Amino acid sequence: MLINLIKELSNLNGTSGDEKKIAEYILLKIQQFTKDVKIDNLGNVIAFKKGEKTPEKDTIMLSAHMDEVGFIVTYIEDNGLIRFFPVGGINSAVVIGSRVLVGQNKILGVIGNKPQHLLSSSEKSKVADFDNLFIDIGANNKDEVLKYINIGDFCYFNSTAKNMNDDNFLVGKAFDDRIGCAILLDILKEELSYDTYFCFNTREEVGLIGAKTVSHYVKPTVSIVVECTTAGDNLSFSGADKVCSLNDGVIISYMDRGCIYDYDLFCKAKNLATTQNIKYQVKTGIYGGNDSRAIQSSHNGCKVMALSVPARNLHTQSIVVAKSDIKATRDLTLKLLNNIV
Amino acid sequence: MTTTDILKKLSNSYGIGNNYDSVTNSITDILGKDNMGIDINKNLVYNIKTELQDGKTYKKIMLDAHIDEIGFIVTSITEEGYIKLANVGGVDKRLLLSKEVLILGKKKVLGVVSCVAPHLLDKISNKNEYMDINDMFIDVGLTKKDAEQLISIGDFCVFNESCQCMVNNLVTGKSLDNRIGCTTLIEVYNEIKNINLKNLDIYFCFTVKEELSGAVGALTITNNIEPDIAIVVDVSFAKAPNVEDYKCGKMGNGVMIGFSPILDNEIFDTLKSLANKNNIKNQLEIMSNRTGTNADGIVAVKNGIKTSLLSIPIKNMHSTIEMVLIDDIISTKNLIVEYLKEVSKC
Repeated sequence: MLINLIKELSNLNGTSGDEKKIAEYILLKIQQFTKDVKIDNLGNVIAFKKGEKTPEKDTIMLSAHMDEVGFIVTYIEDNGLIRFFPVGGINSAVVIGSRVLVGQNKILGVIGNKPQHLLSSSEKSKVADFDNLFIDIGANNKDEVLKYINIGDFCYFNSTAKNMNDDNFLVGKAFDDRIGCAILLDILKEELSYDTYFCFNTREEVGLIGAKTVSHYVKPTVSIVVECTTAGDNLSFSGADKVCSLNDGVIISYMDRGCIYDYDLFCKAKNLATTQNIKYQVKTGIYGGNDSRAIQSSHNGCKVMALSVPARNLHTQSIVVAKSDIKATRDLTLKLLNNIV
Repeated sequence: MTTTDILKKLSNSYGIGNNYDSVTNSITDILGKDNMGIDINKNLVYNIKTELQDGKTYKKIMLDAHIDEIGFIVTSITEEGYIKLANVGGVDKRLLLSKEVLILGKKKVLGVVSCVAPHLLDKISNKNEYMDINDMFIDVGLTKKDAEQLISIGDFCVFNESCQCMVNNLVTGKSLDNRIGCTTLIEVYNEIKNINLKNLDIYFCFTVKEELSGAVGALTITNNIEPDIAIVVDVSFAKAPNVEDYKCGKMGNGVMIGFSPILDNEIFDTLKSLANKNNIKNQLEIMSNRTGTNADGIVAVKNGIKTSLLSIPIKNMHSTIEMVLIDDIISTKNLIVEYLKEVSKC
């Protein structure tokens, strides 16, 4: 069941460069659908499934990225406090007051700050940046810390995915892009019109690195990236400033900060959504970016499209998404895939 | 039940505004329903009268720990179904973004404090400033119509975070301020049942409304009991990043014995010497003015009450990541027990 896949995947920990557990889970699930699976030098999982037809001139690729944003331990102070930095783009303001799990042993740490009663007036207003934040695992000095963790350890938000109140909404970490991975796994079980590569990429959040090597191998001529993208409908933004909204359907992309998408695919996706009664929306602002930018300019070039689930509070421990949008994204992805050439 | 288990159970309960059932039920689960009463303000009190010797009168001792926690109150529901909140007590606004909350409406409603994703930060003019709670939107994933079925203006709201163990016998959780004090009182109650104390009329007071309006619950109880001696058990600041040594205690250094111009000199001296005599880890907390606890209210009830303050040092006060060392709670419990034994001799 798609929602259970999403919950299980999002509860696993795997940031850029640390995607192993995610890959293991995906490999386990893929087995029943295809045996043609390769892992490249960077840990990207590249699966191939035969469809009804082999396209004459095209190579078709569907992809999502396995990594979530997280943190890395950079230094341990003599007093036992742990310096860290985000892996991927995280706003320091959302990290203050969080709990994190550090390293292989998942040691619980907290990210605190100077008590507000003791702040100077300038400290009171300006958001602390990562240079002024520390992870505290409760160790009294550096040697004690080193008993449990080391520099270079990855850290993760300590969140568990759960339903929200009326069952249409989910909250959890790492929906970007475990939702994409789950949708790929869910589509893998279908009978496909065309031979398709299903690619689970590493290191998207730190520069689309996995997508580059995957594209080098697959040499896609047409690709769909399945992603999560930022919705601003949960704050005081109004109108176009919301960019996109939950429950308004799958987002069909025309342009973002990294990529101008293929116009034919854009029109095809919109038409299919309309004729199939799949709710869709387009973003009312140019924001974000994903693996499409790397894929588009790989080898001799590739036509790209991105289909995305709108998500609130992206890159935090409490991302909120709507199941209706997940279903719409999954349905349109499959439909577009089967009509892509 | 271990001290840690008691603390976890209490931290995972809630008590705010006018709803205290969750936390008082947790306490009565542990201590039973004998010897207890709940007053008009919902303060919970347990009373133990020990054996009275011939020719003696009871010494009335009041132990106080507040059961309310900081949180929020619902002030409006927007057209899109988002909930707007105001602070109840000194919630640290810097720690709110992306955190989960629980609105205590017709049923418990899960909410998330909405954030601007990094991709959209350009849109915010004051992105380097902390957001005020008035500007925050709580996402409950409901339309306005559906939200109004479950939530009303005036409903209270608490953090949704579970209490967890860390390394080194440390615990992190919400409302350790002041479930730590409550845990201490519970452990004292459990221990003195096995000791032969005399001439003591002891009131274990789990009081309401300390955080917002200062000692509201404690005032009424103190008025009722008019104790000879009051000991307030609360939390205080522990050494943490960027906090100067002289402004706080240290986790692991034991119970913080408080002194200030409003507290009783004699009891302070007795507590200090008992701690040292019995090898109970302790540190002193010297305050120059009022204490910021229920003691400030209790001291001026009726003709005045001799009051003392014992605190347990915690990090990250008023957040969901408050941290405490269990050993410090036990030191505090031990000192109170020694004090009761001492008074029992008189």
